[in-house]
Amino acid sequence: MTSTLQVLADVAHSLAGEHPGPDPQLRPAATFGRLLFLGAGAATAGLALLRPLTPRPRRYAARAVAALAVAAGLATIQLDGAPVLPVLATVAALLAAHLSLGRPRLALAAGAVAAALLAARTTGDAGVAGAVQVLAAAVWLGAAAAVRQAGTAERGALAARLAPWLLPPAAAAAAGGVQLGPTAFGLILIGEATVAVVVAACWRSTARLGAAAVAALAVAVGGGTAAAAMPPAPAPPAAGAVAGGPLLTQVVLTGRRTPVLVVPQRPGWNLVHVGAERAAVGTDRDDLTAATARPGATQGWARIRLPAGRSRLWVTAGGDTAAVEVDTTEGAGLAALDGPDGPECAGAALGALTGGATTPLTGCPADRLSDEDASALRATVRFLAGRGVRGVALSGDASPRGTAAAGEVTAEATRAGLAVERPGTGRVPLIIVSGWAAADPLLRDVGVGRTPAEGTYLAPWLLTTTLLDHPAGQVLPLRYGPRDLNAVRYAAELGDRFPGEPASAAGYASWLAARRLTARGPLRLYAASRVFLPGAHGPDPAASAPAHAAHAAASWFPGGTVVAVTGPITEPTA
Amino acid sequence: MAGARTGSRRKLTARLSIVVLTAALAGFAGSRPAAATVDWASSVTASDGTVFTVTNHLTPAAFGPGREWLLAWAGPADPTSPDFMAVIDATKNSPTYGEVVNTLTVGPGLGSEPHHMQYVWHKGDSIFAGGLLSDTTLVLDSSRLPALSLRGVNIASDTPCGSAPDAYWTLKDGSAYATYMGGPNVAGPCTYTNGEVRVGNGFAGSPGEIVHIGADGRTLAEIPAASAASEDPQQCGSVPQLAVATCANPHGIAVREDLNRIVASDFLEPRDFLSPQAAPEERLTRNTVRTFDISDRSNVKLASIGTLPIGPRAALENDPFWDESRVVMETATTHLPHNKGAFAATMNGGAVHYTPDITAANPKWREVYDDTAAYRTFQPDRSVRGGGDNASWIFVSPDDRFLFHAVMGQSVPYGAPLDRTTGMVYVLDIRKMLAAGTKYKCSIDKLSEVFHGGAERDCPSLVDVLPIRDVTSGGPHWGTIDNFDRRADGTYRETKTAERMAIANYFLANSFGGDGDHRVCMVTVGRGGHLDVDNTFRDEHTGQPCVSFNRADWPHGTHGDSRPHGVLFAVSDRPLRR
Repeated sequence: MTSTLQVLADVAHSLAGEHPGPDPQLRPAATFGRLLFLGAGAATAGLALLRPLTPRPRRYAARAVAALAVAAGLATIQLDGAPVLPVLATVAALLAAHLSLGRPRLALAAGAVAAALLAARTTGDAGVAGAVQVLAAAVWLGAAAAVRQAGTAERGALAARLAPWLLPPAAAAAAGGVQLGPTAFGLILIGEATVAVVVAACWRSTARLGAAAVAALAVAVGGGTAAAAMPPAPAPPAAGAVAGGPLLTQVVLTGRRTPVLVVPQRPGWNLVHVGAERAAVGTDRDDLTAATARPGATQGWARIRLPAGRSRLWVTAGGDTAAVEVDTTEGAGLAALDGPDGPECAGAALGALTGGATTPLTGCPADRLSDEDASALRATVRFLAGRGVRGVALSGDASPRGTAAAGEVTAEATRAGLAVERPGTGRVPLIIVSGWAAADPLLRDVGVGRTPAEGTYLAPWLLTTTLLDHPAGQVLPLRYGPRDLNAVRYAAELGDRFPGEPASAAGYASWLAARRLTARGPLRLYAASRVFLPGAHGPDPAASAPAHAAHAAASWFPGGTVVAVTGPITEPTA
Repeated sequence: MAGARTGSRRKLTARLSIVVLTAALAGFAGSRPAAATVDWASSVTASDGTVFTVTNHLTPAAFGPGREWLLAWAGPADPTSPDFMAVIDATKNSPTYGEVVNTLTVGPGLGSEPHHMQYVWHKGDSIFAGGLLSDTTLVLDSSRLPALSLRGVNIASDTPCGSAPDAYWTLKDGSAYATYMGGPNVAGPCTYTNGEVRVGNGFAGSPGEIVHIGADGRTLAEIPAASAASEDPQQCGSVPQLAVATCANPHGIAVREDLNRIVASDFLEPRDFLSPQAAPEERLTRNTVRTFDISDRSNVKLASIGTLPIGPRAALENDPFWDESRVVMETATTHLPHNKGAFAATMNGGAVHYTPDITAANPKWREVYDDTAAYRTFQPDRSVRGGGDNASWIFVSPDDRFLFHAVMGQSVPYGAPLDRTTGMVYVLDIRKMLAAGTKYKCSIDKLSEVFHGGAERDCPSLVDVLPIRDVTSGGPHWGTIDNFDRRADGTYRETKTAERMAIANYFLANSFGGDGDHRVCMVTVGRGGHLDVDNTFRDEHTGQPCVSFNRADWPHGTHGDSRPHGVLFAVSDRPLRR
């Protein structure tokens, strides 16, 4: 049985143009249990739903079907890891539907509730179409069972009476099939609808019961229900994805396409970024790791250990589960990905993918201080010296880049005769050369006045929305403008590929490299600030959140601006 | 025909531009070109070396006799498309009345959030067009309307002591005063042109300033709007808090050159109000109006800081955020020599305030009308009040008879659905109050006056209300009056009788507080002040009254829906007489 179901699942996925691959967790028994639950449950709900139009069904047959549905439903809790309360609620509703068969109006209500709850138990990529399938199956199976059990004398009249009720589900199934397009499930839905229309025509106009058509309908309904019961197919790899290179794909969770980024997609620890709230990921469906927020970054992040070769990554959010197929090759991990600079490094990988590059990730921005950034930091210190400040405060971190950057700032400040203090020592300009993680809480403290500072001067790699959103008087040395055409295009493409993901300096640099472009204008200082005016939403920041804007994600700083506030500034040599 | 000129020298570029434009218009005068548009560009090099270019895209309807135009400064919904100035045929009875005859695209840089121009245009004036988010002001030569050329540009680094430019008022010498709502480009001390120093908390923070911009776009003076001494720290919050508290975030501006006064209304600290990082604080919303003494044009000084009073409706509001004094978006002066008063309108407060003499050492402001009374004329259940109604543009007719006021509509959190709180434009007759001079009695100090208008005999009386249905989160925010009169011979002269106005339904999209349906409507003003939508001013694509900026195609290409903010009437130079 197990191998048969395995084959069926693979065939179904192949028909849908999907790539099943090796799947140690397909769990044929769970799939079979879900199929029985949905099929027998639909029949039970359908018998009750149509009870006002039909005579009371034979007790033993109805009881057997209901018992099968209840048993299969309870089994899915164990076999499938289905959530206990929703399954119990569905089972209770099915029992109520069965027990109310003696009272037609009550049966109608109980059957409707049971069918609705059952429809909510469809899984995976079926989505709304799966729910339509279950509801249609309830009506069709209920009608077929009622006609089958009716006495010979009354069978024809009953069929004629039920015939019109086969058509609304047929229309819904056809619509669902059209929406799904040329997939296996879509074709099954359209086939079911066609057969149901033929059966209705037979029942209505020819007074023939069309036994062959009923059989065909039963087969079609069984196939459709099986499709709705199938576990979610793994998301196909993104076009151009390379084994061992960062992976960006999308899965359907809670009815919306959710981006998933896996970096570096190599054996060992990987950073997985999910574009959804309260998501969890892992290679073991029963042991997932919560994707949590990281300072300076947005949405969910999780460290996941991947085996060598092909494997499956499970992603859940909002009660939905989806699978992502990953393919690692031999290769070393990246140290920076494993630490606080992981999201910035992942952002660089995402920028490259967005730009069309599929090559494996070979390093992270925090691995070293570039000559250009070193020069930008020296120029920033010189600018501040020119403003007559008595000193600067400096915040770095332990990364190779942060350490080198702190050295550059300190050396240049010394040359300029400026004292270098710790943050918060006095109200002087605060230069931040750490990574995102350390910069985020420090900027928040400056904004709320816990850390006094006369403005904050961020290293170029700190250009990302989350860090600009604090009211801390941020200024950055940049060689490009975020309102430049290429920069806007990068932000727009990023918003398309990974909605809600903020643009970043590292991501833009990778995007430019992938497109073989450069953005090396003269160095200027840019001020960054939220510019938020009241209006129809009044004093409600949540109601005015950037997500409300259709193209907010296409901006480097939704709800704010990054503007050049100096002309080209002098870049002193080291 | 398309062309672009870039040059390193501003004058040379401008001269070349004039030559090319003249040739272009001369070449096509009298015969409509077969091509869809005639493109023509001009450029100016900014103070930091950046070359700014504007490109006209003139349709066949742009050619022919000179006439009247409506300019609309707009940004695209598509972030990869350019900002542009739309030039619309505003000549009544013209066969192309309501057609967009030219779009002037702007570059480099995208997403500047086109905001305001000057309030009215006079013959010979340049057009000052600001980008709120780019902190940039374009100065456009209007002498060849409907084509425009670039005369100058003022960029963020030209105004180190202020940011987030909002509004402009042009002077007789061709220069303009501008309000910069936000603080200095970088946090810390900033030295203004007169040598005074104020400490600010950075870009889009506080304090803002007044900038005097020359006709060539250069900064003539940065003028401190904040006093050297601290204002009330309980009222004037900042984030991070400044040691010297200030409410100076000027937004609306009006100038009486004859009285040597600027009036500027304080809005809010744009960086921090509604920041997701902090709870909303009413102390970041401003309730002050400033006057400036411009007797010495080269050394303008802050003359007074007046505080608007809290009115009787505040007792009904559930948050001080909605009281009558909050968020002073706009101000409007009277015009005639014997009148010295000015008005101020509050965006969140939904009230109109007045002071009879802006030359006084400390002008006293008093509430003289509550928007609630206007709402009650057309709201069936009379439940909508002025609190949080997003009151916006306000302007006194040139003959000092009427006060026009656009209101976007009440805020979503106020509770009523948008289709019930839709916006309006209303007209007040202010003659009695102005005639009373400094002895005017009007004061909205009783709750009954909130709902029915002031009880005193000299209070402004409501002449008409024109509801403008916009069920988006925005509504009728900006307007401008038509200050030109067309004679039988086809020439134009300025008039003091406002017979038309244009209203634009857009505020600020994206993460800001309200959008709009992006229509620009023409409104006729009857002799007695009665308002009607001009149904002959129709969209060339839909055939519906009002020009919709939600359209796929523009003269500069298929760039989709766009958002018109500032609007302004102007007339071709040749038929316009002084």
